[in-house]
Order: sequence, then C-alpha cells, then structure tokens
Amino acid sequence: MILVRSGELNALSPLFEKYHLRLYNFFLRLTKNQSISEDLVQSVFRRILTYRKTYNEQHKFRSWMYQIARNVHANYYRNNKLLISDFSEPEKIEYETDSAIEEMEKESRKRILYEAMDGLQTDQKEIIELSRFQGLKYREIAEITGLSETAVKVKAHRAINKLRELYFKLA
Amino acid sequence: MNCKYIEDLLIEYLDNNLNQEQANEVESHLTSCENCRNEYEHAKQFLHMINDIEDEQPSANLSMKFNQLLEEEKENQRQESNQFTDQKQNNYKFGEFLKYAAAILIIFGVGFLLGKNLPSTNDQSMVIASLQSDLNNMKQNLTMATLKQPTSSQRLKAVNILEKQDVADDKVLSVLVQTLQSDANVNVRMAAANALTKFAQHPLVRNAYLEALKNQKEPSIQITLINILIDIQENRAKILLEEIMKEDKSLPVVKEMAKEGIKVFV
Ligand SMILES: [Zn+2]
Repeated sequence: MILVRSGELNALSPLFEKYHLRLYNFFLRLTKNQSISEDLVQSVFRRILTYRKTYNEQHKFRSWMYQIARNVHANYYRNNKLLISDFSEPEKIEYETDSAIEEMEKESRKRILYEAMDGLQTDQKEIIELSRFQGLKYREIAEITGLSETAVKVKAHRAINKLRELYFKLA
Repeated sequence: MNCKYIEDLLIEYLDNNLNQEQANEVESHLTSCENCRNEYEHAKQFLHMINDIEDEQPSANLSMKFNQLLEEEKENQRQESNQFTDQKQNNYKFGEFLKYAAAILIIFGVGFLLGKNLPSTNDQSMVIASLQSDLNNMKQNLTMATLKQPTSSQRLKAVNILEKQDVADDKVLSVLVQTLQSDANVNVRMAAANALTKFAQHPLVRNAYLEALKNQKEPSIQITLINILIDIQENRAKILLEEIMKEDKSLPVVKEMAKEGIKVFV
C-alpha cells in the first residue's frame, strides 16, 4: 500500500486479489444482496484510491481497509434502510449421493445462520463478521472500531451467544 | 465453582485464547459439572458450524469493474501530473489569489487611494509601490481571516498561502503559532508547523514547537514536530522526548523517533 500511496497504482491489484473475496462476503452477509455487495466492494477500492495519500503505514493495510469497509457499509445502510435480498434460490440438487445430501445440509445451515444474523443489531452483526468470518483478533477489531479490546471482547461474546440462541430457535 | 465465570470463558477456551491457568480452571470445572459440559459441547458445535461456512464467489463483474476503476484512476493521475506541471509554470493558484485580492482592493480601496494620492503627487511609482504594499496587506489580512473559517481545507489553504510569504511580521507569526497550538484539525496544525520552519530562528516559534510537542498526542504531528526539532537543533526538546519514551500510550514508531532524537541531543 505504501507503493500505491506513492503513486504506483498497479500495486493495488495484488491487494484486490487478496482481499476482494473476503470483502465481498463481508458485505454479502451484512446486506444479503449480491449485486449491492459487489458495488460496495468497488466503493471500498475507489475510496482506497481516493484517500491513498492519507494511508498511514503505522497501521496495517487490513485494518485500514476494514475501517473503510465499515464506513462504506454504514453509508449504504443509512441511505437504504430497506434491505432487499437477491439471494438466488438454492439450486435443485439430486438426492442420490451422500455428498449431495451433505451439500444440501451445509447450504441449509448457512441459510438458517444468515437468517439468524438478521435478528442481531448492526453492530453485533459487524462484530460477528469481523471476529468470526473474517477471523480478526480482538486487538485488531479494537483498532478498526475505536473500541477498547475489552469492550470488543464483551460485545463479541454477547453477539455470539445471541446468534447461537437465534440459530437454534430457527433450526 | 462459579458456572457463570466458566461460561464466560468458554468461547475464549474454544478459540485457544486462554492462558494455561485459566484453561486448567475451565477443564477441571468441565469434568465435574454436567451443565457446563453441555454448554461447552453446544458452543463447540456452533463455532465449528460457523467456521465451516464457505465464502460465496462474486460474479466476474467485480474484477472487471475493479480493473476499469484502476485504469480510470491511472488516467486521472496522468492528467493531474500534467496539470501540476502547468500550474508550476503559470503560478496559477497564486495568480488567481492576487486577482481576487486585487478585485477587492479595486472595489474598496483603489479609487480612494488613487483619488487621494494623485492630486498631491505625480510620481507614478509611489502610487504603484503603495498599491503593492496595500495589496500585500490585503492578502495577509484576507488569509488570516480565512484561518477563522469553519472548514479545515480552507484553513489549510490559508496556512499554505502564509507559508509562501518571505517576510513575516509578528502578526503572521502569531497567527501561525496560534494555529499550530489550537486548530481543531491535525492536518492544519501540521501545515502550520511546517510553514513555521522558515522562521525557526525566532524564539517565539521555537517555544511554540516545544509547547506543541508537550501537549499534542496525535502520532502524525508528534513525528512532524520531532523531525523539525531535530532539524533546528532545539536541545530543549530532549526532556520532552524522554517523556514520550516513558509514555505508555506513545506508538512504537513515535518512541523509536524519540529515541533517535535523544541521541542527537546528547
Ligand atoms: Zn458449571
């Protein structure tokens, strides 16, 4: 990213390759909408380019990127309170093999989980997303959100317990 | 043993985040408490399930659009660098500002100035010199007024204009010093710090740097100030740098710089 900041824009490509899938899924779980999630990923990289000169190498690129992603999502959320899911219907899978059944079950667990996530507040969703799906340490989440590490931990525990409760109600 | 306490540790236990002592506590409790054992199995199952969730693939559009974005930005970059060269050659911004100042001078001042001066003297150059000095004053006053503006980008611009002045009277210096000490925006303060380097021999300015380093805790300005103080060989900074070294909240980078600085001042 230091290269990008100094004007070597091509250096952003490897970063896009590394992170776009994670970002896409980050937004997908928060918005439930594939095309919006693609747009939001695009917005993140547009902002990275626009604000490249403000990048400060004291912070990890990843933390900075998630900070931007949170802002992009918050912006989007403010402007679009009505979230419309465009999740495609599950593909019809033949019931013949064990692995197909396993696939189906996996798919249905995922749907229930996502449905359960809808029952969380936005900040809880976000903390689940960062701590679980994106696999970040509490320390890094603290840096991204500006909360203390302890506060992040407490929030993460509450969110995960709430999510579990919601999940087993639906399952 | 307190089940609530153990429950609070379960997630961290499952994530392998506990120290040995806490992990032992959890384990020994689990062997003896069936409730917590159930809770543990439940949580474990759930976390596994979450970890198993597979990422979805975005459409090919995403990469395509990114490449488009990158190309556009590269194009912008090329144009900007061209523009920048043009600007340098024409001194574009500065000229624009002078025009603005001149316009105001014309509206409020020149008629009056010429009307008053012309009858008493025919010396054209006197008039021009006086006009020039009025223009300079006007420029300074305008700029200093701009420093009271609400947006940081306007204030930043004002600092940059003051920086371009070769001679600074005490009024300009004190405005810049005040900006360095108390502007709400850290970027404006940094710009003021840099603008003042030209007048770094002035005791007022040197004291202002020390004062700022003592009070301001943003890493970016700390780094700027440390660099400046080393550059201008301000030995009184040493004691402040030592404090930064001792301060737990200082970022490692800042501490590192402070350490280097202390060596310089030995
Ligand atoms: Zn127990």
